[in-house]
Amino acid sequence: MSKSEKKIVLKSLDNEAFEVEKAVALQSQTIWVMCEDKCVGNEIPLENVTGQILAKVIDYCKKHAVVDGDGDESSEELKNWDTEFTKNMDQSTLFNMILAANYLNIKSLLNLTCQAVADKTKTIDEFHTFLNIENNFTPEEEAQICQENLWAFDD
Amino acid sequence: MSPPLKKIRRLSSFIGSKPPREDNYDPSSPSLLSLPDEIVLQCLLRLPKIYDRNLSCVSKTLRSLVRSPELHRLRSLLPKDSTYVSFLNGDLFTLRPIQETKTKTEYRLIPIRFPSHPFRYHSTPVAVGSEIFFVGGSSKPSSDLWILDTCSRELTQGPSMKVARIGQAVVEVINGKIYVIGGCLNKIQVEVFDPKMRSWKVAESPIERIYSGLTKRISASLDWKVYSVDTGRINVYNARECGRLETMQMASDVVW
Repeated sequence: MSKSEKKIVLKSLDNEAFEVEKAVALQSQTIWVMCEDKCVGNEIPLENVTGQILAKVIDYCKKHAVVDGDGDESSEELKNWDTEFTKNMDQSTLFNMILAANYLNIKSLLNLTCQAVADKTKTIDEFHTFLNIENNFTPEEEAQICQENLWAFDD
Repeated sequence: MSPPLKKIRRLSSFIGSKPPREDNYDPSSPSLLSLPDEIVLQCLLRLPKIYDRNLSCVSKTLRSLVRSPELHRLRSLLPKDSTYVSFLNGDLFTLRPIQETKTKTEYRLIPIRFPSHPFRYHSTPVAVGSEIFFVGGSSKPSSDLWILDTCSRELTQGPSMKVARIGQAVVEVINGKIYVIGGCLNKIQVEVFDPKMRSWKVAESPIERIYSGLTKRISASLDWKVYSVDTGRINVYNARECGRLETMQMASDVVW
């Protein structure tokens, strides 16, 4: 395989181009399928991911790629890296990462980001603000639902 | 030729369509519910069930997701290892790991809240799979069966036994079926409930009337046998051999 074939260019929604190792990019099943179909050149347009998010996705993929025997980091180390990776993400970045992971079909990243949403929801009192969900109950319905004796099971 | 695109939902349309009533809803920033439903479920799946109540109060849409059969189905697929502890006064607890370190795990008993109902205090609980079955009565005979599904949280009344039994009946699980032995003066001494078929069957009873003491039996099941402690002896009910009853004498210095 020649050097140029080992690299691939990913182009974001806002036309930012990222040159990455093929092994890094192929963690995305979506990109993998595109490459398999040979219907793209070396440049892959990703119409649903902004440059800002794509840069983070690539960071993740680089860390998790096994390139030339370079990927022998201990699983503990990788886990700590993952925790740090999502720790300081704001809500909007996190949700966009989830969408990107879903679109690019990177299962481990999707799991990681969904877990991060759950973890953040658990640690903050004002999870309403974090999840940012419109309350579409009528005041009567709200009063009723909050009085309902829904059994809280703990696990 | 354009690249084949995976089926996706729009990334850009984060803006809600209705005016916000809650102060902290900000339509200009992304909402959890702008994510595809299957992803919202993946996030909810990772939250302990204790959050269900609060999440249900957030919005109609979220409530319907929290209560959806799909979420229950996904949860039921999660590896689960719960221990339930029931006390004679009817309180039910789960044993949960609360802190895990490399060397030790700390557990705590967490009370399970569920409606106060006479059967809680006057029946014998036994668990099969993810369900807890409350069988019979205590000082007052009862033929009731109540079933608590710990996954769906639903409490239903199951079919009744043929015979009303008091709390000294021995209730044990053998091969996934619930054996209820004694606790009555009727000649039908043993009944068996099949949780899969949801039905009771009368099992062959030993000739000797079983367990006539006044105190709650201490019992255990092993293989096809139910062992229960009686005054000065251990009764062994053999479910395989037509309910043959054996007794084992206990050491004379043990007084029951």
